[in-house]
Amino acid sequence: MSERIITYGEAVREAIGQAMEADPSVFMLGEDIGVYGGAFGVSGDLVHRFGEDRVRDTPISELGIVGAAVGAALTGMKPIVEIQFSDFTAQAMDQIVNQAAKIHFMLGGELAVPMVLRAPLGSGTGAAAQHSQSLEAWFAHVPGLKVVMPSSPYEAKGLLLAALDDPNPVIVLEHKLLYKTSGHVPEEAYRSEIGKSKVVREGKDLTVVATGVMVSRTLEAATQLAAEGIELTVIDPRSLTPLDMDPINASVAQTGRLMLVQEAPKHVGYMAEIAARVSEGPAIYSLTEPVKRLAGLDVPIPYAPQLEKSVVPQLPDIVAAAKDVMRGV
Amino acid sequence: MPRTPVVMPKMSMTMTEGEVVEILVTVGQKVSAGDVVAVVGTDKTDMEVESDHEGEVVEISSAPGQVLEVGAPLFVLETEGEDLLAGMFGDAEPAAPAEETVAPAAIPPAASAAPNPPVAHPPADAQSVLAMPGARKLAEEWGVDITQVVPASPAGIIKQSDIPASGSREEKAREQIATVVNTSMHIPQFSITKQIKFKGKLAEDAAERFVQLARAWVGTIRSHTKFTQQYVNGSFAPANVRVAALVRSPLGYVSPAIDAAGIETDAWKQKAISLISSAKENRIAVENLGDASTSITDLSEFGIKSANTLLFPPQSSGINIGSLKVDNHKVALEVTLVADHRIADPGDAAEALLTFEQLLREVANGDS
Repeated sequence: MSERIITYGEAVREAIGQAMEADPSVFMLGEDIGVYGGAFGVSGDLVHRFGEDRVRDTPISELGIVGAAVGAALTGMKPIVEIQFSDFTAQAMDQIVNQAAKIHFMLGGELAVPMVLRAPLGSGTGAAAQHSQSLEAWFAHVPGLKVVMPSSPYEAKGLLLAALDDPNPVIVLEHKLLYKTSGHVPEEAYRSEIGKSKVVREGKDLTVVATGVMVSRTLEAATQLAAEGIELTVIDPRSLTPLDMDPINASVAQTGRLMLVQEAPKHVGYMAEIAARVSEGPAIYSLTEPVKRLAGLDVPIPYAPQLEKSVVPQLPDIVAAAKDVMRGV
Repeated sequence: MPRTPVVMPKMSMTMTEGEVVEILVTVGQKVSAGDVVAVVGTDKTDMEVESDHEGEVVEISSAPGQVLEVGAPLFVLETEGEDLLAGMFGDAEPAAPAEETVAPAAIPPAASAAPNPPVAHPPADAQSVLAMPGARKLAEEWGVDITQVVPASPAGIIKQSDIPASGSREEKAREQIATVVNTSMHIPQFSITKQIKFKGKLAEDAAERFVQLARAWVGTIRSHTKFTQQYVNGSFAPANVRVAALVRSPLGYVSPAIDAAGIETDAWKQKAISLISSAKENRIAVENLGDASTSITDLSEFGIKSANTLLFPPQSSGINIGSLKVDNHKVALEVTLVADHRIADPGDAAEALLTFEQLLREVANGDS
């Protein structure tokens, strides 16, 4: 059987379509997701297949959209919210943080908020500072939310379907640059496990943990480095909350070296959590080099394309940083 | 009961100091919050000062005519309630009495007589050394003083690989053996075994027997020169004959090597015997480490019938002795020759063993 290749955006749409076919309580709401097909074309023809009741265009009010979704989830629906840019979740933070994440706990477990909130994050599209951030650490810091970052078309579908099965509110952060990338995606409705890190490449020299678009970028770097005799293990946590440290600790025990790659600014970034957890456990004694964090600069994303690229790790940066770790500098 | 100062108030945005015009209370007087307790003069006008607290005046710390900074105490109240904010905003402490009634105890001279530790260049203590946690742990486990470890990396951080092995030498020795044994795969090798019987006497002492065996074997390969060749990097070259002896040491079995030059002499015999006895104590001189071209493995004392050991570069041959019987001037043994097939064929080996038998008989009956 030949492997079917589709794009990341198509994989997300396929997951939503299959979920809607399987479960009448699943519906989607967001800005311009109807006949327009979504800001990044993800919802596409879903409105024609499922109608305007299940693919609902909303006014431009993120707080209202998420509030409506939380209410719907409380009454037994399974809403999929699309926020056009993850930056705009700032408008909806009260509903996400103070309502969606808390209700189950404040009502003694009597009710759940099985809401999925999808939002594109990241830079690289020339959308400037207010449309290019990587805000995953905000959500990962809130107990009661689960946070996943699909790094490939395969994970985009698998993690979204898993998020829809989950009784908790799940934030799905999709990288804008990945929407047009292609990869093998099975046609059936499969699930990627939330809370299981995935070892996407095995090598003996250096363990690299990367998220989002940095996973494929690190895999490219790994191919270049392999030609020079440096073998990388690349681990994609897939879900930031909950975080599965086991494969990371096991790999560090073997390689003795750890590099962490994220697009978000380094300061108080998500990778700091992984570094801290390694330092809390026995894996720290396996480290032969200090942990290396490669991250975005602590600045708003610039508009000028050259500057935009220069403030987040690019392929040559990852290659150079890996070599630095190997040289012990 | 807390002491609460009533201070020179800040009466305008520009006021930094004020003159005490009049203090309207005396020690022992009880005041209530809101009572006018003093008059102070600013650059603009004289103002009444009200007490913020209720309490008893216990000390007057200013006098009319004094110019005080804003915040300096005019007098001190002893109040009932606890001032929960005391000290939080750097409140001025009540001024110390002008005169000390009790002289403070003199500082004992002994305190300054004690030599101060040098602070400019503190000796490196274990905590101030830059080291990976794993390296620190390893140093602790192996009893290594980490302040004496020299880091190899450009970053100057001590790593696990910088810690010299001491506590786990057996492990390190085993690792080294594992590395060496792996190299044996690169030599295509064969073996051939022969029974040898003759009249004569072989030494019972293993070191002396080694000398006898080595003399016979080195004599053999000197006349069968194929076995003194080495195949290195695609070409043949004559090797400097160095003989390795198998010795049991506290770290396991080791194979110190000795140059065959002068093997006929008594001096060589003494050298070989002392090499073996110090190797038993795990002391091997650098010149005797490795680079054997041939080896003698004598396992006869364990009652081994025959053995077939591996060759490691740059070794091209080796003999193994087993089934040794020595009684009543009769010697019987089995010798297994292992050889690098690239330098010689089994037929060559068979011929060499005939020579070895003859030479060993000569040695066993000779003057050594």
